[in-house]
Amino acid sequence: MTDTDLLRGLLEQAAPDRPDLDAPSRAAAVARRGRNVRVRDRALVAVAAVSVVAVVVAVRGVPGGDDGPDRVTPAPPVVQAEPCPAQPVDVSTPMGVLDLEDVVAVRACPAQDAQGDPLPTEALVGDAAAAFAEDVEALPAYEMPSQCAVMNLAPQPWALQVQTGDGTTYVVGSTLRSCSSLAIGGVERGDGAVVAAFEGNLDRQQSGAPGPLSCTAGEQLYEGPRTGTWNASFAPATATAGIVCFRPDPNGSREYVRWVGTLTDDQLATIREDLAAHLDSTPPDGTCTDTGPQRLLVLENAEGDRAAYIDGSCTGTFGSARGYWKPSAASEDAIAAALGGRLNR
Amino acid sequence: MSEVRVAEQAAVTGFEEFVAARSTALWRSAYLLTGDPHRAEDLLQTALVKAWRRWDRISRKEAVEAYVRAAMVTTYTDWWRRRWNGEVPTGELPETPVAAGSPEVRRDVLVALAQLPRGQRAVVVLRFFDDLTEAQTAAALGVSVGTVKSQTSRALVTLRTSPLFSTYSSDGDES
Repeated sequence: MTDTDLLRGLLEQAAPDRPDLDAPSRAAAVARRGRNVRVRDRALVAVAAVSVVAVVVAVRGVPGGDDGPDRVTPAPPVVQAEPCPAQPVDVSTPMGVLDLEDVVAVRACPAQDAQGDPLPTEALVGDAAAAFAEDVEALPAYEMPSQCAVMNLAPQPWALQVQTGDGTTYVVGSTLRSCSSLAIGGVERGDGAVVAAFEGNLDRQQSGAPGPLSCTAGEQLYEGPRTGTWNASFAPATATAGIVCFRPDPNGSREYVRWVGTLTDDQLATIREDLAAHLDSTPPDGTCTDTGPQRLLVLENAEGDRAAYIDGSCTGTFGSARGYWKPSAASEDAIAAALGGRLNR
Repeated sequence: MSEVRVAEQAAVTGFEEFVAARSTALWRSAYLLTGDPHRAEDLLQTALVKAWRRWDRISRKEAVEAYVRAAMVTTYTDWWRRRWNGEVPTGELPETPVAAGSPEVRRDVLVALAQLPRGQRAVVVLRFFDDLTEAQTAAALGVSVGTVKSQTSRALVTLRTSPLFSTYSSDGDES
């Protein structure tokens, strides 16, 4: 055996057979890192442009210019979410003019007199923070649902600290999470939808690439998909796949043969066209108790981005972060076909 | 579905298929370069990110592996200049030990490889683990074939004088 043959054999023995991380997790991690690098590069271009201007000015200001720097090497900007204020934030007073330009990080901070479930403490950074801003800006102008008039609302203060590329921080927050709105970018946005956008993007940041489309295992369909698919910036026209889920009214009769169905290309096309054309910001009139039948539509685009549309109010209207949709007769037929057909009709 | 979306979907699928098919072999090479499973994962992911960002511009898909391998070894040889770059591999690496196989051999090989400068170590891994030719190794590292030959020669001299060869050669009776 030659030395090189021996070396080949030893190297083969020394390398473990397989890594700890499986391939799908690695692919998801790579895609996540790639997106972060893309954001960092954009920021680096901006920093470099500023640096070039500064160098030009400096060179012009120095006679001869030979002693100027021979290389501009700006440090890569690493997004570090700023810590929360030392004291809980008072969100009971108007926040002033808010917009979400150049957002690089968002984190939940303690609010004064906080009640209810606290928001997660992990910060959105990079792409996820930008996606949050995009989602909030895509929210429809808030219209208060009619049931708010008869509800007694307990305060649930919340505060999000928003950080921009120049290091500025400001707080977006409110004392309520439903039946209330705040102006962002000159448009009234629903409080709950803003909080949901934060939670949804945090969920996507933590989970990376989503798994196959599926229905939640619980009886309440809206409990499962709400966070990860509460996605206002999702454009229905871009959907390339979809699933529809159904839970019957426990006090009523079943409406469909199956509880879950994957949309065929034709069914998806029908729903996509209808949804894209008829999604609006007007909430449906009326509601029902939470025992009514529920339907959930989850759409996915080629980038793996998803959005959920939930019909749980006995109105036949699907609600989403982007607005409301009353399916056409053709869409209802497509949903029924995906669920194996209708019963008791 | 529009042609653009079809192309995007194909790109995503193509990248995932490549990772599924080839990333274990690439990770093994990265392990021999770094001697550490977590750094190997980071090195591999760093190289894959470069491929991911250029995926639609890599015209010949059969060249992807060569591209990733080149990105991996050049990143590895560059790390000593920039030190550790602070990136951490993501994807919830479990705290499990490296799969058992030949722990003594692994330890001895890694000790021997650690004696080599990074360029020589990369050449050894590419030539004798990945079975690349001298020309392919030169292309991956962005150096001349002459440099590959000289680094191979120096690396073998160092390894021959290390306990590794004496321990595991047929005379050593432990292989």
